[in-house]
Amino acid sequence: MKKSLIYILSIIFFIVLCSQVKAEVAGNCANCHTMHNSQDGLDMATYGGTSGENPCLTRGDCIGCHAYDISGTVNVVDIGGSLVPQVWHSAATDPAINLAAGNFKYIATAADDDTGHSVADVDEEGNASMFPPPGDQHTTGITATNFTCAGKYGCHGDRSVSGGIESIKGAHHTNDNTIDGNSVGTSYRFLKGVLGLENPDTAWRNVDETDHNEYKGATSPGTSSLTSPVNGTMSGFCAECHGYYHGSGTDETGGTGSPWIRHPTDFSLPSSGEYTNYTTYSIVAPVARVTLPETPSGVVTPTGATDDIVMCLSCHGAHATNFYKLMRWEYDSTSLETALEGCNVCHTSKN
Amino acid sequence: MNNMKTIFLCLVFLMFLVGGVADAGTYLNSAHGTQNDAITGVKRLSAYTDGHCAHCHEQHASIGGDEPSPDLPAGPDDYLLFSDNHTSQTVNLCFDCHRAVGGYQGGIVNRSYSYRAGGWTGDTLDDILEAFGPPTSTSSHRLDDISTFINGKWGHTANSNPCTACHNPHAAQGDPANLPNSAKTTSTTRGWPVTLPSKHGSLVATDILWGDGSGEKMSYYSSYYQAPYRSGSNSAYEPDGSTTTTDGTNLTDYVTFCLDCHGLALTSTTLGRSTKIIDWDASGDYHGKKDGGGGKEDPYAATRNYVLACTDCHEPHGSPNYRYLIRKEVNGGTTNFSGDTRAAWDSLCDRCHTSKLTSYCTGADSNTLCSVCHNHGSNF
Repeated sequence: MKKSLIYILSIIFFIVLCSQVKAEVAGNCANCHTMHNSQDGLDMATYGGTSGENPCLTRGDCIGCHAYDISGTVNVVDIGGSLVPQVWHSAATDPAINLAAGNFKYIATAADDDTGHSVADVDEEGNASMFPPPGDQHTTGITATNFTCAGKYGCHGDRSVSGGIESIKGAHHTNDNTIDGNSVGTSYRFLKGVLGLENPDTAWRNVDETDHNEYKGATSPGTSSLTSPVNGTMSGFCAECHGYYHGSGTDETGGTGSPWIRHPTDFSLPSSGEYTNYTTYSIVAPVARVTLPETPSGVVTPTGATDDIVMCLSCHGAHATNFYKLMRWEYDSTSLETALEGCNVCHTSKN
Repeated sequence: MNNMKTIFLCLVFLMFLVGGVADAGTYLNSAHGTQNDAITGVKRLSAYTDGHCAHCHEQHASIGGDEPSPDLPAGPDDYLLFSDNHTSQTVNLCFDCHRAVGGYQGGIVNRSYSYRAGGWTGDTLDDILEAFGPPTSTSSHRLDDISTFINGKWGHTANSNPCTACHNPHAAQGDPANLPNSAKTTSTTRGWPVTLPSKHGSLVATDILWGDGSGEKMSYYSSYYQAPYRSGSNSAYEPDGSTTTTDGTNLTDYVTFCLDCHGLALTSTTLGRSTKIIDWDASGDYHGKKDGGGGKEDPYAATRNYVLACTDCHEPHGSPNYRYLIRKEVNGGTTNFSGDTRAAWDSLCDRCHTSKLTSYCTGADSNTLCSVCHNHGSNF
């Protein structure tokens, strides 16, 4: 009897342990934190070439850890067993090896400013002409100099909290087996309030039609607030800063159907005409889902229903891409066929 | 054996060649989409290659935070277009580029049917805006009437651009490509500019354009089609100046095309009444399949039941002539259809009927308008 109890408790402990390992950041505390920013007389908070103490005793700021080695060629850095996805790296085989959101290296030089979100942490020369954010419905106050990764003037973390690290405090240690959007840690990619399925096969990347993230969508856009994405959708999140490109007011998308006056998002592909040919998930022009699948799906059913939702990320990368206007394909190519590559995924008769 | 190898290699080469052409889709083969790199497609913005969607459609009505020109009136427009889709007879998105002067593409010349098919190069009308509006054109398809008619038909709505009743902007081709300021010739590759109105929106390959299939020619509609002469010639024929092809195998079946709408009584604000229902069948008009016993003047001199195409007498867009979109050039000569007078009608009808069929037309009633007896639907 006692042996049986021990056996059962062991199984339960194993399951709980496994789930925690999967959900939270792994590795020794010292991989990410330093108590005194000093060891043997040397600074410890130096990740990514940063220096000085950071909130939460971290050894780097957002870029310090997630752009750990911008000249490196890996998209995920292993720091003592802690796997850190790299938003800025120099892998030679890009863009295939980039994370799903892209690679900030494309905006690190002046010539490439229009290919990504110009966060001040990366965009070394600034790009004031793109601020405030286009379609800034909610008056974000974001400028070329305060635009950052997380917090009030960023995307990740709690956007009602000032300070990048402060806004994301604790999220890396949250059990996120269930993405419910109720906290930063349980939101998709720490985008507070956003739902989604983080790719369980090849973490942080979209690889092919069955190996990719799944994004939350809705069948009508609604209106987001400054800090809360309507319907928990990815597009709703973009609308916190670019609201006029997403809502349903007459000054926004102009309603809920054709004729649209701006390209619709959070809207189901029509069940007729050229759209019916989009049946296999495309990582060039991906769709979102009203109901997130338990595993990434390669199927799209353009029935005007739930698994075929047009979203901002259908066309754009989130961080930066090597294409004009953060597009997922070479939209400004001198080859018309190449320029329309992504358009033709949905607009299948316009090839 | 070497010959066999040569033939085999040629076949392989041909297969790849044809395969390559087939790869280009409907849009890439259209005039707006560069007609498979043969011409300059739509080109409004410098940031994008010609033929790009963004020249007509602004995804967010914003590039770099600002609305690209034109931005008056400010704000996004229906169908993501860069300007208002359709407002009036002279204000229409298509005219923003299809005008010889002041367009967003530096001026686009599009000649009349009389010029292009009829070879009447004396025509000064040189763009679509002119064709639809006064003072150049006094008779044209009324765009507002078309909007009213197509609303609710064939997938159109009240927001549809009336030009799309006849043209699919994502498929229409130059005819021929890259020669909008010239008469058509047999030495160039023809294109197909129209879509059968009732097939609007169909994705069936054979429905997308009208005229490109062998069953979509005047020769298919009737074996009695005879192409009219070109301007000033008695040896070259419409629509491409051929001296040998006269049976309509080189002409779109514009009868079937036009009757999609004109087979019905249509509201005409210009005429203040409904249009006549056109019946081109054997029980209808003599200019159609009804046997009138043959023609009189060349090239209609033989005793046979000639069947005309609508474009033999009418401009598709508009005409400087008084009414009914009557062409300024018909069957080799010019017309002066300047009003409802006998002389004006004669200038048209004489192009094929110089010796009148009955004494009634030339006797005491010689001032009677031809149209009093001879009109669409009169069966006379």
